Order: sequence, then C-alpha cells, then structure tokens
Amino acid sequence: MDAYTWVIILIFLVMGAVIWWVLRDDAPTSDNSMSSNSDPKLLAEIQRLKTELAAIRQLVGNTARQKPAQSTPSTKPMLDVSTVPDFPKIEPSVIAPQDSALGWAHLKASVKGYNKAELQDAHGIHASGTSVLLVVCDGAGSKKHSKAGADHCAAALASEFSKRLSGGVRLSAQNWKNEAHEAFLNVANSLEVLAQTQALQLADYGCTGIVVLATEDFVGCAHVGDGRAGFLDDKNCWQSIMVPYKGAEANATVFMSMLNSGNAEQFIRTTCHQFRTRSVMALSDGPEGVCWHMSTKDRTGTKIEDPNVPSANFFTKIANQLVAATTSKVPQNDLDKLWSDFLTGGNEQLSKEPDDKTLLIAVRG
Amino acid sequence: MSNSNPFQAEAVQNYAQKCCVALVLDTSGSMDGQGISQLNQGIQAFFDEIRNDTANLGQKLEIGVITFDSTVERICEPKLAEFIDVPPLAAQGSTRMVDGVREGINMVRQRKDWYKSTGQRYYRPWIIMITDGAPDDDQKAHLMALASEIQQGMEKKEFCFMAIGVDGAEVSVLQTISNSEIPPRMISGLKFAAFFKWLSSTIADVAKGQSVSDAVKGNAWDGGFTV
Repeated sequence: MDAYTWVIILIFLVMGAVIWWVLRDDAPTSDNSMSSNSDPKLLAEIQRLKTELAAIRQLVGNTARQKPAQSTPSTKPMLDVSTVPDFPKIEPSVIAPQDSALGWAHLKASVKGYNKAELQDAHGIHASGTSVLLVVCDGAGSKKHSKAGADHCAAALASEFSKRLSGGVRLSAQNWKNEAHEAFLNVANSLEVLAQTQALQLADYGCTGIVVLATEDFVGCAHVGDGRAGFLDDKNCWQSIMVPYKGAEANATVFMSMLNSGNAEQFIRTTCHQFRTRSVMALSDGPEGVCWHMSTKDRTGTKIEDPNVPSANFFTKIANQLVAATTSKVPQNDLDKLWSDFLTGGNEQLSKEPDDKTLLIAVRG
Repeated sequence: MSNSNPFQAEAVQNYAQKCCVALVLDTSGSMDGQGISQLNQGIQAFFDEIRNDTANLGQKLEIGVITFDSTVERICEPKLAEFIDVPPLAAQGSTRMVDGVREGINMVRQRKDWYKSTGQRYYRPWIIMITDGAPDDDQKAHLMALASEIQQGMEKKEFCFMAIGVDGAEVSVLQTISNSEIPPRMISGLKFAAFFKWLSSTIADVAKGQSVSDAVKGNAWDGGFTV
C-alpha cells in the first residue's frame, strides 16, 4: 500500500474512534462539554434526564430478562360437539286413557337437595272439577329467609288464583295477562307486608314463583324467575309453556321480592293457549336437568343452546305410571310419598342433585 | 329407591354447565422444600376430589393452572379434571404476584368469552391465588390497581377471587387485594389437601345458589385451616 492509502485508512480509523466515543452509552464527551456550562437550571435538567435514562434502562433490562405471561391460550379451545346431546325431536306421545270421571290425577312433592341442610322450595296444587292449578316457588339459596318467602308466596299465589276460579272469572287468552299481573302484584305486596311485620329485609325473602292453570278449554302460565313448566298440546306433544328468566350466569334470576308495579311488565312473563290439555307440569330448577332438554346442540349442530323442551321419554313414562296408579285407586297420600321417594333418589342424577327438587304433574282423562 | 315404586324414569341427557377455576400458584424460591411438595400433593388431592365427587363436580369444573415466580406461566388451560395432567411444580426465582393474578383474571375472562361464543351457560368463575410471600418490590407499586380491578370484578359478579396465604405470606398484601366478601385466609401447617377438599365443596355450594360470603365461612373445612 502506498502512503496515500495509509492516510485514508488512518482518517477512517480516527473517524470511527470519534463516532464510537460520541455514541457510546456513557460518553463523557457530552457530560464534559455540558459540565463546562455553569447554568444551574441546565445542570439540574441534565441530572433529571440522566435519572430518567437510568430508570428506563433498568425497566428495559428487567423486561428483557422476564418471560412474558401468555395472555392468550396457546391453542384456541374447541367445543367437542360429539359430547353434546342432539337437539331434541318433538314427536307425539301416547298417554293411556283415563276415566274422565276421576278428574285430575296428580303427583306433588318438594324434596331437599343432596347434602342440603334445609328445603327452600314450596308448592301448592288445587284440583277441582275441570280445573287444576299448580304453584311452585323456589327460595333463593343466597337469601336468609327464602324458605319463609317461598312458603308465603306458594300459599298466596294458590289463594289468589283459586279465588279467581271459584269467583267465576272465566280465564281466557283475553284476560290472562291482566289477571296474572294483578295476582302476582298482590302477592308481592303481601310479601313486603310480611317483611315489614317481621322487621326484616324484603330481599331476604327472595324466591321465584310459577303458576300453571288448566281449565276445560284453556291452559296458561305466569311466572317470575326460573324453573320450568309445560303441557301436552293438542297433537299429544310435550311442550314448554314458559321461558325461564335467566341472567348471563347460571343461578342468576329475578325474585318475587323484587317485583313491583314498575317492573311487572319485565318480570312477570305470561303465556296461554285456548284449548283443552290432558296434562300440565311445573318444576323448580332443581330437577330440570333430569326431565328437560336444556343444554343440547342447536339446530345447526355447531353450538350449544337451551331448546327448552320437556323430555317426552320422561313425562310420557311418568304420566302413564300415574294413570295406572290412579286406575288402581292408590290413595293420594301414598302417591305423594312414592313421588317424593322418586324425586329423592329415583335415578342417579336425582340422587346427586344438590339443589332442592319440586315437580308437580297433573293428568286427566 | 325401592323397585316397588311404580314411578321410574331415566334422566334426560344434557350438557353440563361449566364453572372455570383458575389456580394461581406461587412457585417462587421460598416455596422450595416442604412447601412445594405439599402444594403438589394438595393439587393432586383436589383433582382426585373432583373426579370422585358424588354431586357430579367432575363434569362441571374446568380448572386452569398458572404459576408465578420470576415469570408467569400458564401450566394448564381450563379443562375438566379427568383431562388434567399437571406436572410436579418446582420452586425457583422471585414473586411476580401481581402479574400472576392478572393472568388468572385474563384466563377466566377468556374462558367466559368462549362459553358465550359457543352458547354455553356457566357458573361464576373462581380465581384462587396461593402464596407464601410478598410480591417483588417492583410489583408492589401495582397492588392498588390490582385491588381495584379485583374489587370491580367481584362487584360485577364477574368472578370470585380468593387469596390464600401459607406460612410466611405477607397478610397485609393479601388483605389489600381481597374483597370483603371473600377475605384472605391462611393455611396453617401446609394443609393443602384439607384446603382443596374444602374448596371443592365451597365451589359446589356457590354453584347451587348459596351466597359466596356464606359459602366461604367454612363450616365444612378442616380445623387445621385457620383464618
């Protein structure tokens, strides 16, 4: 290499050294040059920036050393639809004939859930002539006096609707909603009076309320909260007659203690049909998983939904067994005891169910 | 039931409603030795309790596991106990507690979103944090923000959060982040198995409608598990 080349190399080396000196992290060049400035404000600002820089370096260093949390699952969960029951088929059932002179045969019971200390469900049933009235109230597990609330509401709802039947009110699709609203609001008011009399919080009496009423040519349902109710339609298919009030989460619902004239439109749900039914049923949410299709594939088979359909297999068997027992003239007390035994441990799922179980069913000829 | 009962009918098939439980576990160095050994045994006992539960908890609880030490890691995404295979946990490093709990919140939120997107109904999820220490110094600055997040989540009934301390845990930290509905608890003597047994029954009680504050009072739990 000639001298010219060596000079060029030397110039580049010097330039590289200067650039390294200027750009290196803790280059004193800038500090020195700044330090020569005696402005105290400027020096304070320099100090502040140096402190901030050190903090940022530490933060960057820490972050680099830490393995970040995986805030998203490594694989997107997939619903295994093969484990989900199919959407139920609704087909006609065959219920054995029954002597119409026997009127409404029925089964009724409320039993404690598995390992539960106290029964918080209550029910009422009133069969007279061509009419039958079923009432189910489910005391909220989270409320202190829900058993008293359920007992009160079951008795009061039965009384309200019985009064209408015995008073000659002809219930129909035209007046069902108004009559039901009036009856439910009367009961809600009486519950409030009960709480005031006992000097207790109304909310602690929380319970749901379901009323199903069938006459010679009418079947209607009114309810506040959850549970299920259904009937046998004119094609002998089991159908639901209410849509339970459910929140986003299981167990989230509304209670009779929340009901007032301001929210009645929202909280009281009514449905009715103008024809003669052979069978009606009502239940608290405890036994619903045993006798109701409530969590199956949707019609597309890709998601889960609540089809809200009574199990035809379950209710057809029970209705026929009830017809047989009634024909054999088994006394009502014995029927109710047998039914209570069935709800307590009639199959594995019933015996393991932790929630209280109330199920009423009535069948006529 | 007697076979002479004329009323007999088998149950209909329904898909079980799910409850997501995120276990957020401290695997920092201070847990080494008896602590991590007992925790490993307790977790396995918990899974066994659920698998063998007579009230069908095994088909309802979906359990996810998160560990926190110097890092935060999802050991297991939420799934039924019968499908869970958690390897033995090892203790090491520091205590990134705030990041760990936040990951637990993320986990249950993601699971709820998935339940909704697939049409499933679900019970309120649980986040259970177990620690024997205090968060790293740089994590302490975020404790109040985490406490606020937990408070809001509890008030909106988005999840239940329970902080569990074992010997050496800084109780004031657990109190800071806990909601009054579920105050923090201490497990004495590393009795994790007794705690997890109590936990499975408590979750079942809440799922069937008992209030959270009543359920966590602890009537059902072992005497060695003390407040």
